[in-house]
Amino acid sequence: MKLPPLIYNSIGKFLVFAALETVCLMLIVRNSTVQSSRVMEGVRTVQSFFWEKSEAVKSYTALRGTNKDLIEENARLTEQNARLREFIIRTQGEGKLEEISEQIKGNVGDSALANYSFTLAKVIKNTLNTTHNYLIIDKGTNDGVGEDLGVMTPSGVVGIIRGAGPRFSYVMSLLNLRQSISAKLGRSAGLGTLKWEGGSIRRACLTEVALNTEVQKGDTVFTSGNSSFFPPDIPVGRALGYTIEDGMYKRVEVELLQDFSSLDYVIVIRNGDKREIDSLSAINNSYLEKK
Amino acid sequence: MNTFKYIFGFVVILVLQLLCSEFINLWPILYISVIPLLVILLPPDTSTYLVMLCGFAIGLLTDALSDGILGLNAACCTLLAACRNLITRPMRRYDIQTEEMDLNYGEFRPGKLVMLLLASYLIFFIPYVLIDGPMGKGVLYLSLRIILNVAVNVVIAYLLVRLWIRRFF
Repeated sequence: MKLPPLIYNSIGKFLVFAALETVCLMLIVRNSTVQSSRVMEGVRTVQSFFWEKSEAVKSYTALRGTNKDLIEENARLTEQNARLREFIIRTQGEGKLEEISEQIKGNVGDSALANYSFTLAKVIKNTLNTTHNYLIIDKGTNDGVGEDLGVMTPSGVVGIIRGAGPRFSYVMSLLNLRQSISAKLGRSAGLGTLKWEGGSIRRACLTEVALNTEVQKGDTVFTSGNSSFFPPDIPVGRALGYTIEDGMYKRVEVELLQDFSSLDYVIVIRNGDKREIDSLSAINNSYLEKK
Repeated sequence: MNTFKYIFGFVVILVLQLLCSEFINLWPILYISVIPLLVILLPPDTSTYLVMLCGFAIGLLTDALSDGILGLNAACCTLLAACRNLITRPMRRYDIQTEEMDLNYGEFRPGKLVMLLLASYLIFFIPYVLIDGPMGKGVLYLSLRIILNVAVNVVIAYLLVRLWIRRFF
């Protein structure tokens, strides 16, 4: 293709001009140190400008590859994030078990808990608005959790496991008309049976308390330790007042320390002596049957 | 005849420039330069290639004969030579006798001549000051130096053209 004369002429002039200026700059650079550094500075500025532009072009052309890398990286990070979240939840659970165990030991004392072991469980389901309330927890036979184990928190008793599957267990809540636990009044150590009788989820009754037992408002109610489900001296509630029942027992109204509406994690308690205690109880039962 | 006049005028201006460079040091930042006139006053019909080569040669000669940075005047004169057509084009007029666009500096009105000299010296002094100026000086210093050099040299060049050079060209 033949260039138009005007363009041809302009290019020629430019080339001659560029050649002459280059000679001049070379002379300047060779003959003066200050001017040499100045010219080199200018050259470097131009150089860096072109490098920057060329890098921008390279980056733009590499965008497809970069995008693919980013998608892969994103997938990898998502997977890593899921694993980390799982790890955090597990670690938090372990931390919580230690925290709760320490609280219970603080309340009860190490010696009383010598034969007990704890398993942390998360509450999956918790009913509150029926007369036969229950909980489902996320530990089952796979985790060494079985029937007839006590469930509690540092604030008090929650219930007793009445059924266990491989991964989950059914807990009969203290807020169940069929549930009762052995308890005692702190001041006088008067024994009784703690039962929920419906109504408020923060109220229960300590029944069958001997008439000679001194009861005062504010007395703390503890687990008695007479059953194999719970260790003794775990605070359960506070006495609000009492009435005489059938002229034979005192019936103490108790405010429960445990708030069942905010249950998140619970502790399953295993009594190491339970089997032996139960076998001895069985002897008693068989003796009664023979009679 | 005309050629002889041009050559004689060039020699005179060149000698004048050398004398200025050697003996007139009014101020370290002020540089008296008359060689841009040599580039501007070349015959209007001279091709740009030749004007650039002439500008380069004149600048280099001045650098070589005076105590300056070799190549500095040459670079500025070459740039001015390359831009010469651009700045003189609006000032040309049609000559009926030769039937060509002519440029007669002797007939320029003062304003037109000042404009031409101003444009020429700006083109000459901007690269000159940028290359020659000491390191680390700010934009204000460089701008003031350019303005001062352009102003002083335009006045000197105007007087030279009006009083003497117009007799030759």
